[in-house]
Amino acid sequence: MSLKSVPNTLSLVVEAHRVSRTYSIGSHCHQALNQVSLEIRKGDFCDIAGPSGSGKTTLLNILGCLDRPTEGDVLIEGVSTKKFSVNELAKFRSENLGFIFQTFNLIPTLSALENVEYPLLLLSRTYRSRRELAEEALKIVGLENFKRNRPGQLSGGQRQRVAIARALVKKPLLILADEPTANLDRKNSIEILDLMSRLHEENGVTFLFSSHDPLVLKRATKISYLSDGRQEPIPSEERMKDVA
Amino acid sequence: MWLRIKIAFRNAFRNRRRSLLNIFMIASAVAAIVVFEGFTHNMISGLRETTVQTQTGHLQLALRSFWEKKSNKPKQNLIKSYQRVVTELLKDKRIQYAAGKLEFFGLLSKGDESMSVRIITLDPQKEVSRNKHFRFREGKALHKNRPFQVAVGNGLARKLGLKANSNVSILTHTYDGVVNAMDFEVSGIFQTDIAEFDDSTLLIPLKTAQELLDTTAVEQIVVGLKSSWDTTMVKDSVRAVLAGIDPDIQVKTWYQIATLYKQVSMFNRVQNTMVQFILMALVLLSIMNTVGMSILERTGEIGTIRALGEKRAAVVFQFLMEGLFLGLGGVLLGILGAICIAKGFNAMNIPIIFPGASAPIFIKIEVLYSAILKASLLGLGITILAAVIPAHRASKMNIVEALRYNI
Repeated sequence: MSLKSVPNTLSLVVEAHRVSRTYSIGSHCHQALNQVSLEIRKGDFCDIAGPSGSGKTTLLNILGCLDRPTEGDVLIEGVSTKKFSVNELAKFRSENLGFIFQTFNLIPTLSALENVEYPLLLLSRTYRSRRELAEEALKIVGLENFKRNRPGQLSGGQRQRVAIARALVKKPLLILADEPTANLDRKNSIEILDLMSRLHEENGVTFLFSSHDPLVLKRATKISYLSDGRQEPIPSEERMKDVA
Repeated sequence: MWLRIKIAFRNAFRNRRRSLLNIFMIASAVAAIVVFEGFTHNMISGLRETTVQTQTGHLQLALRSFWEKKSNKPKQNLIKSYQRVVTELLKDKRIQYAAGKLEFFGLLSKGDESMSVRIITLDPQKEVSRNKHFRFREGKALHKNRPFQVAVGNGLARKLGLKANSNVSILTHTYDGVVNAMDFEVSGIFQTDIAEFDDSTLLIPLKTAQELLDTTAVEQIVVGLKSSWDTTMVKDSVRAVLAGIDPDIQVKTWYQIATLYKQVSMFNRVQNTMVQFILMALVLLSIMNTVGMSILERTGEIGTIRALGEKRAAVVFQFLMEGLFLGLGGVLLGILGAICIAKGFNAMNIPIIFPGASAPIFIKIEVLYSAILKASLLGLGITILAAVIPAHRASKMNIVEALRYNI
């Protein structure tokens, strides 16, 4: 399944079991994923790699309960999500998953602190507890002095740090990051990935990336490679560079 | 909850120009409703007061045959026991006055000129308050000690060239069909603002009219109340009194009799409703467009909050709150605007002549609490309603599709 797999005896967090996803475009059907299986264990720093259009984001969306597979099943801590209703999935995401997006996706009308506070609002935390946890998360990502700034007043790197703090604040089971460095320059990409690595190593946060950035591939403890929606062995390093 | 409200508030004013335009639109609609209602209320209540005080009283009592207009012989419509009825009625503390009334037609002559006129009686001794409500442009009101004086409507006086103290004679038929005539002095020229009334009516003391018509009875008994609010309750009491004296006498409220008032007030009600409907339809379309645009622009944001775990209902709530904030802003501004417009118009004293009015009246706008409440509820209700459909659409968005749009 992966060349760079680290033996992990820790508990299973997410498990994709022979997952397929087909989209209908007019009369034509496009198979974005074909019989993909994947296991994410607690403490993994896993990357789904592959060229553009290979189905990385589709798999990430399915594992993040944002989309449903056409075939197969996704099990979260051993529980099938097949029969979850839309609201049950929303509740599950709010309690267990953190998201980091390529375009940061911060709410522009809220300050950095309020953006980080938002996921806690969905968990009905008290105002004081929300504030304390959000400030702590911003401190971890090194933005305690920018808490009053709105996204428009922050640089790209700072915005992604706020997004990391937002994903981190509720101490989720798993953080899903969809091409988190795609909109950042090299210096900021390294800083962001260093921060994530530190969170992984020091706090044991489980990360699942969808990225073909060599900087991510270098840090990943587990890689799943996709091509045309199918799982394939990870190509040689030279070929990986070409793909990236 | 507070953060949700804060988010909704900030989003509502994210595009300031568009939001201000919407608030201004809602405010204009609210102000228009309040001002229009205040204006028509003032006009209608003026007409009601004039009708009640100078013509109908609050209640009118007459024999069934009079109301049904079946009898060809007017004498059969006369209430002979009217003195007893009046005495009994006056025992009710809510009644200000009760007096007999006769209404008939005659020929009013001044020198060689004559005109057919409507003659209405007034008892200057009992109907003091009714007597006071006739505004006299010239001369004085009827007086209990001057039985051979008449008061003439402004339009009628103009047609015959009458002035206060002019001498006139009235020729009419008695109830037995005998021609009778009397000479009078004009006590004064009155104006009620109802052209139809002022152009053809003459007031005469009841006792003199009874002499002229050779009767001691009356056609009707006019009852004036201390408070108009008691009309329906007193009507029931009067009915009970009449049952013990003459069950054939029936009582009607001023509203049942005042045809002109009913027509004018119905016309205004229909007109107001149409105007309100059009205004609210415009507000509805405008807010729907704004919220729809806002949702389109914030597709990525909706996808993000849904991905974070926000439920569909919470997305609907957020957009409804945004609509509510726009509505609240518009309503408050509209009420303020209406108060300013009302004060401005009231201070300017702009004269206006209504159809059927004998004299101009000044535009007066009364800012009514009921109109404020109605306009506010309509304004808020419409803005929330306008947000419901787009908000529901937003909540149904496919998360993955929505996330493709950048924030």
